[in-house]
Amino acid sequence: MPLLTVILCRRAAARAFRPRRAVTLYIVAPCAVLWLLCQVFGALPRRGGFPVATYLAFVAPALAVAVALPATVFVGLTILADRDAGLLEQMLATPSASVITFLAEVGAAAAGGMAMAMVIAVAGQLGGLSISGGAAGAAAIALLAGLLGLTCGCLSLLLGILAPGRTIVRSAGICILAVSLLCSTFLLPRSLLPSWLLTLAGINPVASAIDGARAVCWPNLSWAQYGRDLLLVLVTALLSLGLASLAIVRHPAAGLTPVRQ
Amino acid sequence: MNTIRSSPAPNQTPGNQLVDGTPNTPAIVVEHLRKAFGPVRALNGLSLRVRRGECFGLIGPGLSGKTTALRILTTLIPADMGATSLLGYDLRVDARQARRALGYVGQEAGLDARLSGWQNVVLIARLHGLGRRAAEQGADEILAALDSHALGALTPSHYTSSQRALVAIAAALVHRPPILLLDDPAARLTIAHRTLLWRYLGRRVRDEGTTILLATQGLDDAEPLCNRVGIIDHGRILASGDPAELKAQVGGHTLIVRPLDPRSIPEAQPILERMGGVRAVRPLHDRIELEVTGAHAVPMVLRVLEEHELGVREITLSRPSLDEVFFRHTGRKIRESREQPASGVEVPGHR
Repeated sequence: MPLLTVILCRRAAARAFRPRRAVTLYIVAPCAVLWLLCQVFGALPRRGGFPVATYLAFVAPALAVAVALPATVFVGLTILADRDAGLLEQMLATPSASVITFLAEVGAAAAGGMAMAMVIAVAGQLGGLSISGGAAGAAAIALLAGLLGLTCGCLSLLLGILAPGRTIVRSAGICILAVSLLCSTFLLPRSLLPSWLLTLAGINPVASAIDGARAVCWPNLSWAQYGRDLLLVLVTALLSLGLASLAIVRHPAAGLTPVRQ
Repeated sequence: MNTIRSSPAPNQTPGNQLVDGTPNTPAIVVEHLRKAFGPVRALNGLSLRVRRGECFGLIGPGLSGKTTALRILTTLIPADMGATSLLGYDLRVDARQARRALGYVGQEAGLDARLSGWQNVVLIARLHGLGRRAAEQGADEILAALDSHALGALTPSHYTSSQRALVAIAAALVHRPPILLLDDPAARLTIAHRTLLWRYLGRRVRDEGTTILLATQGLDDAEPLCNRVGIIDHGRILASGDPAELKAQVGGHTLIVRPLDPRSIPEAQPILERMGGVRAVRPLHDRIELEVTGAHAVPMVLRVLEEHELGVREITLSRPSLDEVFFRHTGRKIRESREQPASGVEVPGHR
């Protein structure tokens, strides 16, 4: 099985990391978003309520873990394309474990998330951000980003299996993405959020990942806080992995090519 | 009823026919299989047995249950009731072992659009557990055997639908499976590709003892390849046997006589009805259809009509077709069934 996963990872990597798309998706887009956020919200910390002095220091750790999320929509679209082409059915008819048919895809999403986290970390440092956890802190952020990528990759895959078409996968993916980012401390600190939004942020794994990244990035370094957040994100990742593997095996209409009459 | 064992052992008693390792173990056993999708019954007690090295044609119209049966055999969907085994492996217990023995071609081509044809074949070979070198060598061999070596270098976007189907079939065959399940491949193949494939599959059956279960709506597709066929309708096998035997059950040959003058038909009818070897006479507006016992009736009919100075413009002898076999068992023609499915309900996994 590990060998087969490597084969499929190569296939997934070939699809995900095509040069032009990789440069745009993994380097240009994250840096542009970081710059844009700092330009739009740069004046907010001066109004008070922010735990750090600059908006770059506030948003860069959050963006580093959340930047992987948009790319995970591709996992759902890819699995949908495989399903419609009959490839998924062909793969499930082989003796290989069904989990390997999608493990490579979500693995690529996780790897993409980690790569983008590192890009943001480097870009942030070039802009004047200092990561208090040092290299270990940067690696810890990348780990969180990878796990979040894995979680969202699995959920996107579920969407791809259950949804009837590309448009639904794309629009539902974007909606979920927007909601999960807005119902977190991504743009504003806890002190500026309304109470109902704080409640939602409390159960949002994206918010936990963001808090974990900030815990190893900000001056009041807290590995204990990071550990708690990492655990929560890890549990969510495992749960979504389990859900995805259940969905791809048993649902009669899932993962199987719709029959043309 | 035979017991289907979960873990086949090589040395079992001869009484247990479903144990792997004995030559008389059926390759495919399906017993009383039932599957429903909501209110629609896709399979309604389907039973069949396919011997090793046999090519069995499952013939039926759309929504008759062929695809559902094949999907259950590939373990893609579970059955509601009944037993299935491949080479003695019970699918409920040893699904993975059963899948090892399988090559499956579904209704879609099943190719990755971003990989070349060769890479697609290698991918499926690796998923079937072949090592890298064996997979690559197998891909070369099968693509060459199907005269598709040039296609191996191209991505599926450059293929015609027939070429896509052919490469997908190559992927299903690459690991040399002892059992091959084909879901209406002929529907997507050109005549040239079909001929090529049928010839190749015929060699595999003859030389390697490959067992083939071919689901098809095209009666003509099954006949050249299959040594046994089963007529399926509403999820049940209505009749099975050698195609020639089934056709013999329908009756004799049909002789169509077109007289020079259609007005002579009423005169010719009683003469023909009195003849030996003629079972039935059906006068139509410009021709007479005779059901005769065999080809030997042709010269007799011609001689009698000549004796009565009834000129013949054209005479045609046709053997009974599997279409007529289907008609005999269902009361409707297979093409009518194709156009108007009995239930009229589109069901996932059910055809």
